[in-house]
Amino acid sequence: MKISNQIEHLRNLFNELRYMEVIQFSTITLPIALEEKRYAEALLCYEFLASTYFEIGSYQNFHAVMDDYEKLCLTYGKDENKMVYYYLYSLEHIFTKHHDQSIEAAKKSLKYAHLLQCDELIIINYCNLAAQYRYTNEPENAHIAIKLAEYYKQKAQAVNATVVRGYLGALYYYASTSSSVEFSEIKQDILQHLEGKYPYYAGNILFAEAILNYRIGHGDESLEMFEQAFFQLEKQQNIVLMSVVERYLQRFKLIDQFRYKNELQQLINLHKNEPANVRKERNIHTDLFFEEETTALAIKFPHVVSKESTIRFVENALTNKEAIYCIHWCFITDKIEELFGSLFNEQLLFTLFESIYQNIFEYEAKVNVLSKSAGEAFIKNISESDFFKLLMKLEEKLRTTAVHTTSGIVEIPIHFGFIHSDQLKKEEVSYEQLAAFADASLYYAKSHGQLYIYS
Amino acid sequence: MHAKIDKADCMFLISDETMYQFKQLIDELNLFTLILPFSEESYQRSVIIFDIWYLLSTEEIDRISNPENTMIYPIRKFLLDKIKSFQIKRYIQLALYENKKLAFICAIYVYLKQEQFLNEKLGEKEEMAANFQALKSFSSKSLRPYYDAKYIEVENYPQQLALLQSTILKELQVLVIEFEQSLLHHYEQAIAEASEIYEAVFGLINDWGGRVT
Repeated sequence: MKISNQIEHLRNLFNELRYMEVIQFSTITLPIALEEKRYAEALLCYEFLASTYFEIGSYQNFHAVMDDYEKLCLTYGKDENKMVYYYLYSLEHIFTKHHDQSIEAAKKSLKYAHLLQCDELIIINYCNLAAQYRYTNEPENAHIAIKLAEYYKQKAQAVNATVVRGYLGALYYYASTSSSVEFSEIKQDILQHLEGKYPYYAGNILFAEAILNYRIGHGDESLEMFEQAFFQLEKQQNIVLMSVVERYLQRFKLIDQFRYKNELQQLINLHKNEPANVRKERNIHTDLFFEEETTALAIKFPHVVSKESTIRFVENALTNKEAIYCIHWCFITDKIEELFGSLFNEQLLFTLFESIYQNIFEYEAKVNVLSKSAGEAFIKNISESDFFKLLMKLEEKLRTTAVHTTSGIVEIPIHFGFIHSDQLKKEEVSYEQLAAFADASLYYAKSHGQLYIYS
Repeated sequence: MHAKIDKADCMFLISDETMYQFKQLIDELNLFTLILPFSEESYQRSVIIFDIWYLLSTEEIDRISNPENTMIYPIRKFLLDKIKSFQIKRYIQLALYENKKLAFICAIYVYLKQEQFLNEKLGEKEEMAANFQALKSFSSKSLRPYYDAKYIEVENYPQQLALLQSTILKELQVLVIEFEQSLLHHYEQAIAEASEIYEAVFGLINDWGGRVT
């Protein structure tokens, strides 16, 4: 009960933009929630904490929080959590200049936001996308994004003050397209929302005005605005935005005229500390729903690869005119699960998969898991007779895994479906076709209760 | 949304050029596709949206249906026929023939609303929902290989799959007759919302499908 109240309190603080208090409070609540394994609450704490650190521009803290937050979110997160997580992930990558990843993440966040009909994040994400597309020079997309943001903004009923996080994106967009009218409208909106609140966003607004002035050709005023923005940001120690300011100064070629160039760059370098290598390597998981099912397998069996890398493997082989076998398998363990429960079943599926895993890599193969009980493999450079030998071997290994009970043995039905690339027309062969045919052949094996069918 | 669609899976006979046009639209209007639910993403969904797009944007006289797929995908065919018989407001329909972008957005909304209708109705019918779920497990790939002549020695046609589809189709027919008005209302809403959002982004629709600036 206590934690729920605290979370409610945190939410109010956050919606009121009282960021310092949010930090104070959530650093107290978070360890308690984690200790009591209240992950739903812990996730919300992370959410507020990470958002707050980003908004006040404390990059190192933001980064540190995001790392833990990610692990928890990918394991226990629900749609709402993932929606916010991907939004923050997108922000993180704006800072590290990985714009493609950032845009991808914002889109994911939007998908969740549409699903949950969360107006606030829909607006925020579209605004941010508009600003980003503008920055990466994709004016058509930027235009669509901003119009969509406006459309949803009109349709949305009451929104919290936190929506200004998005309005700022719109502000940057209008500034860089030098649309003064829309700029001042959205600025009014922002000021209205911020009335009576601590002026965290003064620096952002000054910065946007600097961009606008530059775009409409007032270079001197723009420089002055940049300086003012810098003072403001320096006062707040907002490193995130400072680095963006520097980027824009470079882009506008104003950096040499900027009187505080050295101070600015020093401050950024002092706090920046490029994220650790691990993070650069990390990609957005293509599909989280899928991920949850198979993470356990992927950790235990490191040679299991993602669908993308399987596709690359197949396409490479096909362009080199190498013959390839595609094989799908599935284990039917419904009965076992009914009898012995899901934990036992999972263990059994591990064992079964292990047999395949240990034998298949004698040949050049890629293995991809489709679900716990099904998977696919592509094998290169294997003759027909070798392939059937492999099948026999797999069968032999798999058959030895049966469940022995006092009243007898429960066997596990196993089915294979496979196709050789030469069996398809040359112009038709592709990853999709191979997989679809392997699936069809698996279907016939299943419906006839055979190990495999040969056609 | 899947950009890799095999034109052989469409309910109409499609030229490469048309397919290319659709793929370009997916790229260009990517931001509009975000409204589609994440968890339902599948190959079949993309193909269905393609069908709807083609249906909306092509005049009847120019459409040639693909008879083979009528047998393979009877449910898609049935629902597509429902959309075909739905009367769209004249000025929008005229614009749809000219304006592929508008048609794309409409197709997404029509699909979305249709799914919404089905989900609403399936909520009350457990058995039918289970059948739909079973069919969904086939949605990640094309169903054509199941009907390939390769397997004719094993079985003439995939009986289980065909039976599943025909069961669903029968139930669906009953359902749609009972709730026809509601379904049509969903379509109407879809077209209205889609054209509203189109106008918000690209400017007014008129009967030649251009933009009023």
